Amino acid sequence: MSSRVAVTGLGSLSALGNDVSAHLAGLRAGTVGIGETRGVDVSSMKTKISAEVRGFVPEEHFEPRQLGLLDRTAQFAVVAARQALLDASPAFEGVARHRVGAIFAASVGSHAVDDSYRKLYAEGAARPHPFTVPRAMPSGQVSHVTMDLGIHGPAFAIASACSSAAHAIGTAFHMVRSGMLDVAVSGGAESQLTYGMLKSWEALRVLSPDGCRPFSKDRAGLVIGEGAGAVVLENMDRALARGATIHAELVGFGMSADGMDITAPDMASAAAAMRFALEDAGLAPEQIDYVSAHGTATVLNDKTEAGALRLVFGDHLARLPVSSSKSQYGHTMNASGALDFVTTVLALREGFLPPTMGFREADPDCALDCVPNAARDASIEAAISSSFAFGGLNAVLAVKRFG
Amino acid sequence: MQTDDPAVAEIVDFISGEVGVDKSLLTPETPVAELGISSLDLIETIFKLEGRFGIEIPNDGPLSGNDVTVGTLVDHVAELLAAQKGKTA
Repeated sequence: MSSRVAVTGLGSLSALGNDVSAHLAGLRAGTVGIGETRGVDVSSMKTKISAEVRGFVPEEHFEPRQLGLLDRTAQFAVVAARQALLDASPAFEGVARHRVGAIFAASVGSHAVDDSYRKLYAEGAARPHPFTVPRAMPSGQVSHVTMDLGIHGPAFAIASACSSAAHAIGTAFHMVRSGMLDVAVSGGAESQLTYGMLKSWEALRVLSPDGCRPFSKDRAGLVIGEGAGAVVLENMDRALARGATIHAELVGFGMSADGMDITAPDMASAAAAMRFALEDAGLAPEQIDYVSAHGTATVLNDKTEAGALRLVFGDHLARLPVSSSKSQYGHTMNASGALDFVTTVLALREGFLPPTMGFREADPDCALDCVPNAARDASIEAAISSSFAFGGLNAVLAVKRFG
Repeated sequence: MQTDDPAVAEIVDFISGEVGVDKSLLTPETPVAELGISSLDLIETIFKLEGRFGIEIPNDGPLSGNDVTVGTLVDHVAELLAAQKGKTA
């Protein structure tokens, strides 16, 4: 027997702000959190912009001894997870110890790698810092979440590039729906804002030098962001019984693999993932009122995604708003599926369409209502949040308004 | 562990500050494991001792066991320091 799954807790850090209320206010106001990169020396780079988490003071959240073991990525994960759990409090009360799980994105601790390798290679140090390995390991963020929140059930990290957090939330959803877990904390964090990673992204020639403009004809590529999103997912009957605040109902999860190319996306495969999410949710395409797009603002992604949307939604697409919040908080990579999911839940709960900022010129290849340049009020009953990762690993979450 | 040796005193001071334990508790016989610090803390302390005194503490030396005492740690660092000074003298 399968259970319904409630979203009872939300947490976030993004370029729009360091908690969910700041994130929501930024989404509604059309704030663009992209600006000149401050945390890294970008003087030798063509791309000098990013979407940084600003004003985050690690010492306000962690003891000095604890901090030595946490990469910035893991710090974000723990802080977002704490927010989500506080929001859902007391979500763990009365739940058997092994029926609470934590499933997060797997993200390399890029700062640990960058700092240690610089010391080794450039500064001739005899040894890197001895905590390089625990800070860099991609499962670090989920391990620290379990330690910090006291989670003792199934816990692991999922790697699927920019779909990682969406796959994590989808997997947690399956585990709660199937009855394996009563409660799951899920999401993902990422900070690739290091000298080495920014140079590496620049070398791949996908970065925009001057802003993120998804679906706009003059779009010039993606803008790297950092941040974290976290959710508490809970058996619906239990959530109702304890009188929890239910932000939304997670109803479907669709996945596919292109099996084609390590960077270029595939239209049919992206469409399949969206279709599977709708089928899983028992929703017809016409019942979807909003799509939170992957929308990276690369020429190829947005064109392919628009084509995939056409395949899935047909004529309904003319009435279906599709926006990319990456125009506001950048592409947060392995965290993006979680941040976009938090964004989608807020849109449903609050009744508004997050905008696609930076939009300047219609592109016949992306003939969408992308909610250009300003948020709009709208009653949304059901929505999907799409992640189409490098390497063709696709994950789409379907979510319904509750109540 | 010649605590009246200024070099040893300096090492003890440094360890005391790093692990957050009062100097008076750092007796030669005290096992490091009983200072209330984890094995990772000890590894980080060794790393910082290397940086502070410009020495390299070998992985297979006297600090590799599980029953290292404060005396073993301090004396080993002092020996490496003396050997290094001898080399540069």
